[in-house]
Amino acid sequence: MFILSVILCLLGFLSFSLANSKHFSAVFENREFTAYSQWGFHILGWIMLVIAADILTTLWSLEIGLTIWVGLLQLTSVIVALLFTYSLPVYTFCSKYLLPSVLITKKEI
Amino acid sequence: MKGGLRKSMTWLHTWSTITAGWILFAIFVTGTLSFFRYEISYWMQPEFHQAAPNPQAIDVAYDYLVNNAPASKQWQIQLPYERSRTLALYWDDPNDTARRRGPRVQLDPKTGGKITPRDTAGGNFLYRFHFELYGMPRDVAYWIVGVVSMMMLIGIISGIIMHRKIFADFFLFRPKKKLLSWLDGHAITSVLALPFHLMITFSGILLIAGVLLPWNGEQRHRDRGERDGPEVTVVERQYDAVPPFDKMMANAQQSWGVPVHRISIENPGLATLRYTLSGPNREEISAGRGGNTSFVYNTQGERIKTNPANTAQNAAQAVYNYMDMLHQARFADTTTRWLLFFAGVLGSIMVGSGSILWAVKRSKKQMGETGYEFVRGLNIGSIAGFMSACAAYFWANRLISSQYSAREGWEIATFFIVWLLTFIAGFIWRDRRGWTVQLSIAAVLFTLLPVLDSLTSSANIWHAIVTADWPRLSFDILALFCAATLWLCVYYLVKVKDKKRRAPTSEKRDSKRQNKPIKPVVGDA
Repeated sequence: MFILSVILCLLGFLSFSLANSKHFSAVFENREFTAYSQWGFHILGWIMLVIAADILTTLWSLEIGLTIWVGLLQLTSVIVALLFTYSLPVYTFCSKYLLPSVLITKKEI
Repeated sequence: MKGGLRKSMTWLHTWSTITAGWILFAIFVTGTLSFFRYEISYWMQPEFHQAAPNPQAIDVAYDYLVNNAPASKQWQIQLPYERSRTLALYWDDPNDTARRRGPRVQLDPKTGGKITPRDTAGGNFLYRFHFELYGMPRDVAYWIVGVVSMMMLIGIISGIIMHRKIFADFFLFRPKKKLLSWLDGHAITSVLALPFHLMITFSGILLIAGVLLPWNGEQRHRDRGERDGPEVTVVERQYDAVPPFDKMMANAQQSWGVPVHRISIENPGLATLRYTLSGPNREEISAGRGGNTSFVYNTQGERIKTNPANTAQNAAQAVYNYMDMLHQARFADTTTRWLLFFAGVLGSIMVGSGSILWAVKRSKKQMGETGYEFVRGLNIGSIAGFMSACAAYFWANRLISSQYSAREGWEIATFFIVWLLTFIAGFIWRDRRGWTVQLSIAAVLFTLLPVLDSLTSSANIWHAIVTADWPRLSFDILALFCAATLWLCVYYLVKVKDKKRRAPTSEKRDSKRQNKPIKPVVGDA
């Protein structure tokens, strides 16, 4: 379950990063960055982070679980930033296939 | 400082942090290493490394205490756990009035043999340096650390305000762009670990607030006073019965879901004997110290009492406890410890990159000016040099003979001698080559630490892997982590240098210009 919460934090931050036009256009070249997708990725990101927090507070207690959650947020956000900079293919793959991106983005251009 | 809010915040951020940056880096690095204080001490006492795990360690401890402290009123047993593999025993010496603490021994849980480790300050030196520095009155050190912590807090808050696109550039890092890369690296390590930076700085100030507010009524140095006179009544103690440790430990473990860590035995050998079992079963950070539940058992191993965990008396106490516990990672298990360590590394990079950014930003305009060259020189010694000094401290621990009586002092002396040498070298060679050489030295020293460990310990590294000696392996992993970070810095320095070599400017001329002796220039303040 701990591993699941790490993955959720990673995907949550991946989702947050796709709510940024620069990151979005690097992954979805033929799709338009709209307010709809920006909101969609934000909401998706928050849902994943909240689920991760729920798992961690169940595994540990409320206070310790939330502390570990914040620690994981820091770690996973750095991993997402490094992936985008140094391993764009992995970043793109995760964005396209590990997130329900098709539902959030509009096919245009 | 004129201009808008953002401009004045930029000024404040720059000058509050560059003046404190050098000492802040040392505080950050030693603090980050202190998350593994016990592991560092365990590693620095290789006599412990032969200790092998034993499920019946408690029986070994009990036998030792029966034979060596039969007249004592209280025994304390600390079982091997994730941060130490030895059995630690403490007891009350009824004939001793002067000591604050009673005798203490460490045993091999398998053989029951007493282990006498070498004299070393171990991880405690780094831990104490983190807030008391070294070789100065404690209050003076607290003031220095308190002032730079306050400057750090100012730096963090002004940094948040001055950041133009904190959300838009949240994940942004642009490599290979010199100034922009430094700026992004500084911003990304600051922003992504901001909760940690705010927490650690604020809680750090809170922990030494007693000194910074000198007229508060709180007594800082606890006076434990003298003990009562020696116990004169001789009591007949019987040690025939076999203590029901297995039953009690199984009962406690089942209730908590975590293994028993400490056993305190009151009135051993008497009918009033009581066993108190405790373990890492804390559920609240805000409960502060004493936030664990413990169980009391009678001679038959029946639970007769539960000592509940402390709880905070009020919201202010809860906040203080939260900060105290978080800063010192007193509640942390292995996962949390590594997460805190990782955040500490980001903090160290933030402070270091900030100081370097200051110099990189001004390189074109101020090259050769006294103040600028002074900062460049200090940067190398305080960042790359400090890492070498830390590594040298660990090397000295293993290379100075374990029998040498003044070895503890020499370990610390090695740390400061190496640091001083790196400062001198840093002022002479202030260019890229100076950085490359010093970072490479630190990287080599950290990389070879596991090798040194294997060669100079009482048990080689393979033994540690086979017997899952995690306290020792954690330190070796930590050393390799530091080495990898340092090698990464060296790699980028060399890579950029290679690019520069292709540029029309002669490298030799460039190096000469960058390492010119520091002289005040006309008009320089």
